[in-house]
Amino acid sequence: MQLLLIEDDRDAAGYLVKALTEAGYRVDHAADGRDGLFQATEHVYDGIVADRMLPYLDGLTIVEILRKQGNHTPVLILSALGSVDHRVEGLRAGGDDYLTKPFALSELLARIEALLRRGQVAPAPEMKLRLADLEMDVLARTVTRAGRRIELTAREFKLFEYLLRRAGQVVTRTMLLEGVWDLHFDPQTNVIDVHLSRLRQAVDKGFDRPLIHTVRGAGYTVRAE
Amino acid sequence: MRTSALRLSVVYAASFAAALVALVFVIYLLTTRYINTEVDTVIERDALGILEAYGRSGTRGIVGELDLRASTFSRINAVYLLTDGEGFVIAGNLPAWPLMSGSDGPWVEFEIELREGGRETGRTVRAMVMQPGPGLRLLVGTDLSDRRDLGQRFAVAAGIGTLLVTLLALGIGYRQSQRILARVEAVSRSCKEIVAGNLAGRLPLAGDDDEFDALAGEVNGLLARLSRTTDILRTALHSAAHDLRSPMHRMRLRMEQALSTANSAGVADRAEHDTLELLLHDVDHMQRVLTALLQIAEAESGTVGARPEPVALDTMLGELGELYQPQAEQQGIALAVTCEPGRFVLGHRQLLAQAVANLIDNALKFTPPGGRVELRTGAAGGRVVISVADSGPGIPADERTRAVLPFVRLSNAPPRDGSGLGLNLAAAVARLHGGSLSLEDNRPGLVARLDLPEGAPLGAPAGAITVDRA
Repeated sequence: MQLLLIEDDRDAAGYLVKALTEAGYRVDHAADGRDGLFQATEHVYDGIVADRMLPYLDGLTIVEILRKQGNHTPVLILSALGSVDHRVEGLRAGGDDYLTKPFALSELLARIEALLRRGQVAPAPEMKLRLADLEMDVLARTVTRAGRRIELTAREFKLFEYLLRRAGQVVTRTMLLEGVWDLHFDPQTNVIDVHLSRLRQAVDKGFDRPLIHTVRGAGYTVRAE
Repeated sequence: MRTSALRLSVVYAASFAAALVALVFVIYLLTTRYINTEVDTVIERDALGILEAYGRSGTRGIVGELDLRASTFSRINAVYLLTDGEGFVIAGNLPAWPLMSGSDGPWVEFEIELREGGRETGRTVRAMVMQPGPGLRLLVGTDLSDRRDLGQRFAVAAGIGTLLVTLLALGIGYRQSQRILARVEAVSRSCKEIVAGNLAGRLPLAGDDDEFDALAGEVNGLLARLSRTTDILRTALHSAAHDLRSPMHRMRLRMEQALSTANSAGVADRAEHDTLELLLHDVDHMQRVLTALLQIAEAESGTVGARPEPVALDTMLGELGELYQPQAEQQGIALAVTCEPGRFVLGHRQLLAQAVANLIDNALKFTPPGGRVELRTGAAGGRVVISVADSGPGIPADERTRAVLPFVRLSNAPPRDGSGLGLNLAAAVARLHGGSLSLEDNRPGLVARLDLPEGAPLGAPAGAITVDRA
């Protein structure tokens, strides 16, 4: 997977390139907006990570220009401007996700992974989700595991669907808050963890192989071991 | 305001009518005074003529004069009488010497009965009594009934005039006050929009250069200054955010890098690993505090950019209740949500949700196991109140009002994971929405109330928002 990182902060860019490379990506780096736009149009990337405030050309303008050119490469915008308004501006400009600095590397990696997957997913979403011996029927709103029916509340169902659609990926707590609850702030307590432990009770209790796994320091993932 | 418009026109009408009645009365007084002098002059002149006739040819002269007056020309309402010493009538148009009560020199006034169209009518006569010669008594006077009629006519005129003026004044007053009301409502609507965060909005000018336009011009000047200041403040906040977050960002990246190096180095660097974990925790805490401070500053200064939209309270509170339900159950606390449907607030959903989340968070933090947290809405008089009540230890009365002031922290607040600014942010969000946060005694525990102006759901006409309430 080939990524373009557009970031003018040399130190931060250095660490990010190193971390992304360690995570298995090939990374090109552009140090200003003009160079970033040039590289983004010259080469084909699987994803772009762009800082919002850049010399010559800011991140939002780059996204707007790319979208006008018909370039739909997924873009994650990084910004030191963190209000909900800023986020809305970023997404309206054509960004696919918005992350406020400072962030945990695990958060960045989880979001890049989600972004790249989203780029590959077929336009019509799957209505029957399967994982090992578990099956979720999104339309009938039923979940069965090893032939046994699992009862979930409406919210648990939505939460589990969100995780199942990202099976194998790391999903962070903020991603769950945004994706399942549409809340873009950081609750001061770990309310999400309690929801997950409930879901785990419902889905994994009484089965040998757990499907929901905690990723230490990052979030959760759903996978068949 | 509607009643004040009506009140104003009633006051106008009443004062017009009073002025009119006073005017008619004064004219009446002046007119009667004028008529009185006129009557006296005419009588005197007439009497002089008759006396001259007496001087020329004695009693016969007077009789001749009186006959002449009776036959040829007659003053309107003239009354004459000449009697001899015995009281016998010699000439004149009165049947007998009338009864008189009191006199003013030669002047007397008396009543006579007059047969007119078969009806007896009482008439007042003003007259001059003279003695032209020995034994003779002469009376020259005028029937004053016209003067009395005049009074009645004036009264009728005053009545009709008052009625007309009252109707006219009510009409004009009502129209005028409607016009003023329309202007006031236009200004009031614009003000509401501006208060709701549209600082680019200006008060409408009617273009007729009146006092309303002058006032609106002044206010628009103030608004221009306010929006300039707000722009400066917004830029300052953003650059502060940027300038603090960028180094924090580098710091965090360096720590994570060092942490992964320490991890790969193995057990030997356990202490270093723990230190780095603590430092990361501190950076995250700093970030939370910074974010909360910036949000409070943005909300307090009204520099939130997005346009407000209708937020359905039952949906929002239901979702938040559901978000915190498992957490409450885990703590052994009963979390109850009671919301009436169909209540809206015009505002920023994320900020409102965060304000309420902070209140729930706070309540759960301070309520002991076995306790109760209640989330409910109430509405009255165009306001909605979101209350979060707990059965925890509460806050002492003197600290309650202080706790919601911007950036104030309670002295005995226990150290916590969050920014510690949850209540302050909730209060700032309330103020941003034209409301307030109040903390009260829940006996036992604390009840936090977000008092907000009620909004209309999306698609409702703008006029549905009540503008005035006099």
